[in-house]
Formats: sequence, structure tokens, C-alpha cells
Amino acid sequence: MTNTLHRKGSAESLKHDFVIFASPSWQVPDVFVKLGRFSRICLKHSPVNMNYVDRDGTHPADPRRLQEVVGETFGMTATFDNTEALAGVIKALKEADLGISINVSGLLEEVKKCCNIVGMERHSAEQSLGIFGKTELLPQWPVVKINSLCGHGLVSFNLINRVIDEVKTERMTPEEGAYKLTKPCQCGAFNPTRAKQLLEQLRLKR
Amino acid sequence: MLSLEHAQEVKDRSEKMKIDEKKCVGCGNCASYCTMGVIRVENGISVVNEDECVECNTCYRCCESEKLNTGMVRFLRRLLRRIRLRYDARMDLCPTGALAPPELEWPRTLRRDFSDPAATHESTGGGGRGTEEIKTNDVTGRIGPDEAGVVIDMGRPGTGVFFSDIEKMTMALAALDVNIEEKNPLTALMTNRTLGRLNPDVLQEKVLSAIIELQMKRSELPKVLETVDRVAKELDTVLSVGVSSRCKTDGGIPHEQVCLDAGFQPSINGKTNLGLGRRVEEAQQI
Repeated sequence: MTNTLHRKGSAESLKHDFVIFASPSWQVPDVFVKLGRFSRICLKHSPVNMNYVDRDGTHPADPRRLQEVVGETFGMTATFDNTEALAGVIKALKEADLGISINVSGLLEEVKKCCNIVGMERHSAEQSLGIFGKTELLPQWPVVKINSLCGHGLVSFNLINRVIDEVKTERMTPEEGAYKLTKPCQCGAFNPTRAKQLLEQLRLKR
Repeated sequence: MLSLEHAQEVKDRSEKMKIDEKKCVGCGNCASYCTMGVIRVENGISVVNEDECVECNTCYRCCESEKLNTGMVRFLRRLLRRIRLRYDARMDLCPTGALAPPELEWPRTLRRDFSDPAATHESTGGGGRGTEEIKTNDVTGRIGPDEAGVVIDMGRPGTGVFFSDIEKMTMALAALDVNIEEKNPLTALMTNRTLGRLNPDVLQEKVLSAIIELQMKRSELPKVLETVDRVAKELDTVLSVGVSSRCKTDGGIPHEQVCLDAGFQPSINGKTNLGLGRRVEEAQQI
């Protein structure tokens, strides 16, 4: 799965974008208890988005009601908008020693620093080499940036353009627009904080 | 000839993303959510270009039904238009519940299986478009110290891809010294893995994206990336490429310089496996 690999942005903007996810083997003893602990650790550090799991599979949670919705079950993906939260979660996960694979998508050097602070060295890393092929089919770059926040590509170019129009004409605030854009994403990886920042920049752009 | 007739019959019988024209009031909200941008309003009714629809169900999932009476909504819309006013429903609503998820038949089911994250692949029994790749490398050791993993996300971002274009890429890559990931749902569609050929029945199907997953010796990486770049230029879509490897003991990323030397710039962000996983046998002993 490359869902969160191809997020676009400058180093400065990506400092507000980290996705942490658990990838357990279902044969691990007490796996659901461990995922519950993973969830609680994430929730403690104020994620900006998460998914939740029930008998029917994984579902997106309303980012404004994460404690309530995810707190009742558990989630496997959590999105954060600052490095302090990232460092706190990594530290807590190391101490919890759950024994399940944990990955972080985000600025590689920032993640490495957080690992080193708690005496860990990263195991494996993956990088994007960008977009190949008929790139003239793509819309303007800010639209692609917002689209990249959903790993499955479910936030359509049309929806992004419509929300940009609504924000520019003051029929919607950047914050409201960001939450509208979060809705199609099914895995909790869409980052409403970054979407809001991008919409705000686009609003002010001539 | 018989099989062609049969194929046509199956195609005709199979349903596609449905917008009930008796209920649709042409508000166009579903068009905004369409990941492929292939819903349009025509004569006051939303219409789907079925050849290009990837059955991701995003329109259905995001536009909740307001369950309003169709006649009343149409009347009000007409009335307001007369006095040069307009009523727009909230953008994530379908005022009359005109959208319905279809019952699909093979091979159209592939569109949904690859494009809707909530769907399960018939071939692998799993969801999603790929496998765990490096996400569980700390447990599986799938990518070894002198190896590299490459993931080619065909059709991404937001463009979609026909399997005919995917096959051009898999055939070019199969000729190189690489291992194609066995558990990937795309691999399950290959009728000849040595040649990278896909089942001919699926070639006209379109998906939001599909991932080709490869594993190779790191020394093969430049040749693979050059091939991907060359073939990509011949396709009617875009693709996003990722490279992974097991880190050095000091945390360094071994593929980084190889990519740079081959003329490809790796991103400053990416995915990090923290190395906190344990193999099941080890976990069971604790």
C-alpha cells in the first residue's frame, strides 16, 4: 500500500502532516487489546483525523468527534499536525512495546530525529519519486496537493475546485471547506489542518 | 464468435453506477464527488459516462439521501428559476436519494475492487490495492539489506487507468530481473507472469488506481526506473512511483544515492517503519 507515500508540499508545510499507522499480524496474541492501546496513545496526543474499526471493517471518523467515536472502538491510522505530538506518540509506543509494526508517513528527517531521541533507529524507509507520465492531464498544483492528502485518491479534483470556489466567494470558511474535503477519505489519513492551510493560501491568491 | 456474443450479453446484463432518472433533480452534487469527473448534468438529469466510471461508490457514499419528494423538489426548482433564484442542496446531499450502488458482474467488478477501499478483492480475499510492502518489513524481512522495493501506483493522482495501459507497464517490467509481488491483486490477474500479460477479458476495464509491486537487487534499480520512465511516456495516464529499502545500521537510506545517480529525486517525506514489530512466534513466547 502506498496510500500515504505521495503527499506533496514544502518542508515547512509538511511539518504539519504526519500519519501514524499500525500494521499488525492478526495472529499476534491479544491483537485487539494492543490496537486498543495504540488507539488510546494516539488519542491522548490530539490527532486531527483517525479511522475506526468495527465488525464491518474500517471507517472514517468525524475529525471533530474523534475521542467520542474512536474511543468506543479502536483505530489503526491517526493523523497529526505537529512534531511534538509525533514525538510523544513515538515515545509512548516504544514504552508500550506492543510488538506490532508501526509506520509513520511524514518528513523523514523529523521522524528519524524522534526515533533517535528515544534511542531507536528506523528499520525501513520508502520515498516517492514523484509523478510520471502524462502530467498535462493534471489540474493546477495546489489541487494535486490537496488530492494527495487522501491516499486512495477519493477526494476528487472537481470537489476540491468547488470547495476552493466556495471559500474564495465566502460561502464557506477554509475550516468548513477542509472538513467537507475530509468526508470522502475512508482511512483517516486526510489532514484537515493542512487542507485548511492550503485553502487559506488559495483564498488569498489573486 | 460465440464467446464475443456471450461477452456482449454479460456486458449488457451487468449494471453500472446507477442514478435513478425518475428521482434525480439534476442538482449536480454527485458530479463534484466523482473521482473521475465523469458525471454531468444533461437535460436536468445527472448522467454517468459508464466507460470511464470506476465504480468507487464515492458519490453514493458521500451524498447522503435527504429523502425529499422528487415532484416537490422539481416544482420548487422550476419555480425559483422563473424568478431567477436558485436552490442548492448542501453539497454532500442527494435531495431525493437518486443514487444507488449497482450489482456488478465480472469483469466490471474489478473496477469496484480496485477503486473502492471498502471492497474486497475476489482474487485475494483482501482489501486495498497492494500488500503490506515495507509496512511489516520489520517482521517479514521482505526487503533485504541489498534489495529494493518499487511500487508503481498506476493512474494516480486522480486520473485513473485502463488495464490495457497497466499491461504495457507489466510487460516491460517482466522482462527485467525483478520479482513481481505474488500477493498483489494485480498479479492475480496475470495469465503469464513471465511475460507480464494480463487476462485479456480485463483490459477494457478502468480503475481509480492499481499498484505494481516489485522487489529486486538494489543494483537493478536504475534499469527499472529508466524503464518505468520510458513506458510512462507512452501511456494515456499518470503514475506515482515509490522506492523502499531496509535502512543501514545508522538509519541511512541505501536507495537514496542510487536514485539520485540515476537522475531521480527522492522526496523529503516518506514512510518510515519504526522497527517495533515482532514476529508472531516471538510475540507468542512473551
